[in-house]
Amino acid sequence: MKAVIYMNVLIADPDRDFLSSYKTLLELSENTVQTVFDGTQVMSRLAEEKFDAVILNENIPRIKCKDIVKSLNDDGIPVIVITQRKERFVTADDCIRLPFLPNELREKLDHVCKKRAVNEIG
Amino acid sequence: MRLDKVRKKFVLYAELSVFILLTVLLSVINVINFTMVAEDADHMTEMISLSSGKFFKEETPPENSDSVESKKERMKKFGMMGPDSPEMRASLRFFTYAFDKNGSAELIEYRMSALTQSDAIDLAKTLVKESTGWTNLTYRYRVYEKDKKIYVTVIDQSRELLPSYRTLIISAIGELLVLLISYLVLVKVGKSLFKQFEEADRKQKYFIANIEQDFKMPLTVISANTEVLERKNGSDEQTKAIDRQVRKMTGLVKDLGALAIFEEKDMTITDTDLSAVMREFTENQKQVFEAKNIELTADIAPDITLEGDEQALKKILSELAENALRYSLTKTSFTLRKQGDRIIISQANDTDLPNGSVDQIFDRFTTLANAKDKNTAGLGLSYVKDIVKAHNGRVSAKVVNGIFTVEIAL
Repeated sequence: MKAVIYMNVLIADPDRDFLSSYKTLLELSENTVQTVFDGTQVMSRLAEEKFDAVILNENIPRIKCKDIVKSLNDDGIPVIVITQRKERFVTADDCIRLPFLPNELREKLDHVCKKRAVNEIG
Repeated sequence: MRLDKVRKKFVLYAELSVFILLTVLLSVINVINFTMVAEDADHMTEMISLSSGKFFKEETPPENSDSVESKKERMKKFGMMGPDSPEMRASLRFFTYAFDKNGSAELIEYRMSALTQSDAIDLAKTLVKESTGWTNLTYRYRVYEKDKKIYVTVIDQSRELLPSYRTLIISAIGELLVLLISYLVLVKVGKSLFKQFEEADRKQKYFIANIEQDFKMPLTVISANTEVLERKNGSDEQTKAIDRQVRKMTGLVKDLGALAIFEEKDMTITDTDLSAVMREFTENQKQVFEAKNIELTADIAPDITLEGDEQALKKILSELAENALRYSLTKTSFTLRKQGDRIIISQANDTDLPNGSVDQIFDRFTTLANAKDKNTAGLGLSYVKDIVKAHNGRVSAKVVNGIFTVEIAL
């Protein structure tokens, strides 16, 4: 049987339709999902709660995406950046290019979390 | 830029056609001009020959002479301007010498001032064996036999030739001027004309980039929501249809985004080991092709290097592979070889297309009817063409006996 990982995920994206659709979708798979639409919210939410993974759009307003990625790296939280130029985010755990299908994001999310889990145990 | 070359070509060809047209036209005019002067001179020398080398009176030559146009006819043709008009006749400048068998010269008539008589004899002697023609630029001569003597008549046509030479010079200068002016106009017109083409080209690129920008988020949201609906309410015919269509559009838009429009100015030229790049590439692709049950073979000549942009050249290969995956039935081959000075990269696969050239696949937004996967915008090979052109190469594609081949000559 495939191991199912239940995660606490933070999605940060300026598009609210995107946020609501992926929140619902990931919650249907028993994950808990928080959504935010600007950079300051990302930082305050990160201070409040521990997340298993963050999905972050490069066009997030207020705080530079690069800075957020850096702070996530420092905290050891896996991050997937939604970007068209992945070469700009070499420290991110993974990048995904728009447009994508739900499966593509799910696979990356699983992959990133598994990799992190293996690293921590190993 | 490509359009810049087309513009230069346009100016060159337009200029060339103006040059050819003018040259032909002016040559014909000038040749006719000089031929008419020669004809008139020949008519005169014939008249002189008929009066035995002497200055001829109005009554001579006989009206019934076959070889000479009747005076009336010529008068009708030319009026008082004709070479037979009394004024023209009075101004005739010529000399005639007759030579007997021993070569001694006899002066028949002398109406010249530019030559001394001894010079005239020397000139006449050189002409004894000729018949008619030009000498000393402006002299027309005729040599004929009469009473067992050889007569040489030399007639000065400088007054008649002067207008012709002037016309010649004026037409040469005129042609140069027209060429210069038309060049300036063409460059100017070409620039404004091609500005529109450039604008259209730029708009198309902008449009493609925009589609990608504006479509990617909506598609992502729609596909996520479609899945949400399916999982909440169960999938039915409608949600499946939405899913299929969204997948198709996602494929198209991904295609557009991956093909960030290639610009020549973005190239970084280095010495690229094409053999190594291609070996590595085909090695990596083997599994991908295997997964689709397509046999992949490679025939790569060693040590072929090329001055070019390595990333762009890799892009060519990956686009060729994409294409091969899309159209191959059972097998695909990649080859790299040298043919003379050129490097040939080719990709071939089996196909059910009929024989013929399929160069249209290099146009933007073109896919062939037999594509297995239709979720593509048809941009890949147009991009290949752009890259190859930027490397001064050529692309071609054809189908021969069930084998489809793309060939790139660099």
